[in-house]
Parts: sequence; structure tokens; C-alpha cells
Amino acid sequence: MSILGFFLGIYLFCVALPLALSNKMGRPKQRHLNKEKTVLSMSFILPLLFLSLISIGIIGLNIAKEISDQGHGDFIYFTLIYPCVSFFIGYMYFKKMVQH
Amino acid sequence: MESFFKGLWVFVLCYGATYMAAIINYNVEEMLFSKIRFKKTISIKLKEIFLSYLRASTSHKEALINLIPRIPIILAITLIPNVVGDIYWNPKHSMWVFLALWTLANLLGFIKGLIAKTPIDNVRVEKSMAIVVPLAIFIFVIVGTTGQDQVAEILKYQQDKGPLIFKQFPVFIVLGLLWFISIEHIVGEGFFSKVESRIKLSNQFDKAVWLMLFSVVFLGATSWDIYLKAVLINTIGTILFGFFYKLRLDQEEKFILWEITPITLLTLIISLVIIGFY
Repeated sequence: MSILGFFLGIYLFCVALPLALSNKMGRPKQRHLNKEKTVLSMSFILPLLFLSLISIGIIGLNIAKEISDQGHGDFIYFTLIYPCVSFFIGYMYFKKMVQH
Repeated sequence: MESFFKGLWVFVLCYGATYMAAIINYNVEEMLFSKIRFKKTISIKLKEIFLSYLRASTSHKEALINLIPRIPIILAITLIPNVVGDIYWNPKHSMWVFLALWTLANLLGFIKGLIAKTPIDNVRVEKSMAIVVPLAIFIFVIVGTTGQDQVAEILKYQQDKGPLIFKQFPVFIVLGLLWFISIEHIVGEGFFSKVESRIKLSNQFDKAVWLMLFSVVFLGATSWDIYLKAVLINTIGTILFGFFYKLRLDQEEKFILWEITPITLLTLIISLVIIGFY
């Protein structure tokens, strides 16, 4: 019941109220984002991210054994898999942006 | 019924306080960078914030779709103590849950960006790539040094042994630096100041959540001081970074990103070496 109230709060303050206000007061024009900037910053992020992935792999795997002995192994593997998935989806997005 | 209103109240308390911290951070940063007078900055920015609130969505359906990637971040706030010092949601491995929620939010943002036919919310996508990994390292270090993976347990650890920042300060300073580089300057608020204020504020909100976690696990903040310390960390970080660079709009156009790459890589290497020592 309490989680229901929490989600109702999210709906009220993040969806209903902005919509009601913008319907009443008029919606300002939306500005578009710069695509070239994305490509530039992505080309900077990718090498850094690659290094970070290596480091997280090394650090994570070092700690993994000890923590998995304590019964928390699943969390370690999940936190290793998540950034990798993020990276590859991000890389796909980057390729898509460059090709366009 | 009482618990229903309690849930609603918890949301208002957590979301409102975090939003306030984000707005204060946003104003402080703009003031420090643009050097406009306090009163003028506040009035301009409050107007911008209100406009961005109106601009958020064009239809009910769009508003709901835009909300989906935000839900995990809002849930992540409940893992941190709120203004009155209560932790609303206290699962056993809350640090990992925090990271998982964060990454889930970014993954949902990715998916939304990939399937969107309109110009993609690219700042969100950049953020997903850049922030998750350094912050995952941060969580690993916290768990590795304290041996605890629950926010409440880390707070207890700090009550017994003092704030973590005094125990492992070199690691935290370097990680903090790495974190600031990731959030402030890769994500695009510092370099690309032309991004829409709605996205800037959304970034500030996300950053405020992380700053709150920082103030809990670094500085042992337990209730209202979380927000105060979060704003202080951000202000000090912004001032420190002000010494390193200042970009005007005309410089920004000519700026070559790889010029800063060696510094970032050096920071990463130093952080890895220090983590290795400790």
C-alpha cells in the first residue's frame, strides 16, 4: 500500500502536474540537440571507457572470489555484466550516429 | 490507508529535497561559471527551470515514456537516508541495488534513445556510457574497504570508526576526481553548455543523488546534513575545477577534446595505482 502511494506521487509530480501546467500556461518551443557534439564527445569517451572496463574487470574479479565466498557472488557478476551491456549498446548507438 | 499516504509523503520528502539540492547546485555552478550576480542568476535560472518543467512532455503518453527511465533513479533515492534520517527502502545489499538501479535507468534511457524517431536524448546516452563504469569502481572500492554492502551498515561502520574520508582519503580523493571528470566534463555540462536546461537540470538531479550517496558513505551524513554536504561537495568541486579550465562559448566551438585526454588517462592510471596500494 505504501509503495502504491509512492508511485502515485511519482505520477502526480512527474506526469500529471507538468502536463496540467503546460496545458494551462502554454508549452514553450523545444530546442533540438546538437548531433555533432555527441559524436565528438563519444570519440573521447570510448577509449576512456575501454580502459575503465579493463580496470573494473581486474578489480572486480580480484574482489569477486572473496565476496562470492561470503555468498554475494551474484551481485559481483551482475555489476560486471551491466556496464559491459551498457558499453555495447552505447557503442551501437555511437556507430548509428556516425553512420547518419 | 495510512501507509498509502506515508508512501506519498516519503516520495514528496525524498524527491522534493533532492530536487532542491539539484536546483541549488545548478544555480551555484551557473553563478561560479558565468559570474553573474546572485539575485539575477537566481531569477533567470528559476524561470528556466519552470520553462523546462512545462517543456517536459507534449502528451500524456510521451510523459509516461519519458518517466520510465527516471523511475529507477527516484527509487534509488529511497536507499539513502532522507531529511528525517529514515531509510525508506533498506534491502540487504543496498549499494549493489543502488548501482543496479542506476545502470537500469541508463539502459532504459538507451533503449528509449535507440527506438526514438525524434532527435535522441544524447546527453542521457553519453551519461549511460561514461558514468556507470567509474561509479561501479567507486562502489567496488567502498565495499572492498569497509566490507559492507548496505548503506545502513556503512553508516554504522562510520559511527564506530569515524567518517570514511579520514580512513581512506587518498583513494576517495582520486576517485572523487575521477568521478568529477566523468560527470562534470565528459557528460557534457561543462564543455557543452548549450544543452537544453531541462537536460541540465535532469543531469543535476542525477548528480545530486550521487552526491547524496557520497555524503553518506564519505562524510557519515545521516539526515538533513546529507543535502548540505552534497551541495558543499559540489561547490568545492566546481571551484576546484574552475582553476583548471574556463571555457567561453567561442572557445567551446574550437575546443579539441583529445587535448584533455592525457589528463583524464593520467587520473585513471593514478587511481588504479592507488587502489592497488590500498
